[in-house]
Amino acid sequence: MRSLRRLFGKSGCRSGAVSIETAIVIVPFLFLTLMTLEVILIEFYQAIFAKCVQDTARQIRTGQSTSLSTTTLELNQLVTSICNDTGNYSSLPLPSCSGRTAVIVNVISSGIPAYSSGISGGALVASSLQANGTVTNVASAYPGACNLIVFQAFYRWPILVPGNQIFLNSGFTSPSYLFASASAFQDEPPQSGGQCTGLYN
Amino acid sequence: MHGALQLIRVGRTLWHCRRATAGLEFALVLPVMLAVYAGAIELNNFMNVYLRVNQTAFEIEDLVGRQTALSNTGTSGTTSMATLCSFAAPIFRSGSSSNLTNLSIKIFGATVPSSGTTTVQWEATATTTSTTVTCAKKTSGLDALTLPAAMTDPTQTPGTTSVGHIAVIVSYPYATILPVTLLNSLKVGNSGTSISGALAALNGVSISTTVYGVPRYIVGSIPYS
Repeated sequence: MRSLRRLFGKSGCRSGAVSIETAIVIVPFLFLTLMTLEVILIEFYQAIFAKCVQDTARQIRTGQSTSLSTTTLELNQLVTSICNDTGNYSSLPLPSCSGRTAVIVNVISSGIPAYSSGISGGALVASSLQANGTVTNVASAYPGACNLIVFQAFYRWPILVPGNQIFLNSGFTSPSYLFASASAFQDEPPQSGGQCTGLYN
Repeated sequence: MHGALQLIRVGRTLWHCRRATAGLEFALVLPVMLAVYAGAIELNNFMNVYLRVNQTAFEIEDLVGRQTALSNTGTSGTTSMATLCSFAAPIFRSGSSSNLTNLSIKIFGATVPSSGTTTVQWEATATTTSTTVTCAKKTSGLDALTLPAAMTDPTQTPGTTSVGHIAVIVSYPYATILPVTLLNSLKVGNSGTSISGALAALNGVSISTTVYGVPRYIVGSIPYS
């Protein structure tokens, strides 16, 4: 009882008060610092991801991609291509890249395809990225010369800092920030004739 | 009088009190830290939208430039402009935060006659919803187009009179997450102008990109039926 009074009493112990104050204050301080750092990290990797998707889209476009050497498009190889490419821009590749990346290749020959702006609003995206974080690569036919192609890629960044898990979650059950990047182009593998005419009516 | 003296005494005691300094310092630093955090998110969003506006313009120009004949819906051996334009939707989508409603796309086909004045042959504009983009040829009231001087200079572009030009203008009003009304109430500079004047970029600035090109496979403007 006496020792308690010494600690909390009116004229009690005052030594170590600064340490206790610091201990209380340092928690929100560190949280805010880490939250800001993660936002900056996301910004950095999002730019890298967008660039790598562009690089891979160009590989499809020019016929450079080895995944085009067979009659079907090997979507997992496109994922590998994006993930390997991120390692070229940063010494730290994206965390669990291949497991968290999904690609969709749409070969357009007629009509207007429907797209969604969200992760659950439209058939194209919803079939690839589920709310529970499951990733399924959407299959596609071999993109022949002169076809219009839309190449979409997604990556779920695992949000680590609790505050950001509330503010930055893109609607996943396991808090993740969605990187979404796409490229639309006309396929141009080597072919005779050299130009494409009115194929998309 | 007595109350005032007491207040002064209390104030003096507080001024000299050295307790809870860590908490006080943190309270001073907190608004700055929150501003840096919000600023980082704002910068992230802005860069994202900026890159996508650029990419949309470049890729649509590239797609249009490789066609030999265009029409609204792709009838009789032409490419559908509506299809080409619809690709703006996946390109522009930025995670779950994008809204295409305010995205503006203008695509021009133009020629430069010997007089040197740019003549707009056709113009297609986009109609958007929150999730879709479609384009159609504008039938009247075509917008004016100014090509870069080098593109209309006969000495730099051989056969200028027969060369067709393409221009794609993509713009998007970027909306901020930071409280702009709060920023507006502050005054900056010795002229006392509203901060919104100085930081107009924060208040729904229209990010705009114009990309120019020429048809890759044909001479002259691409026919648009």
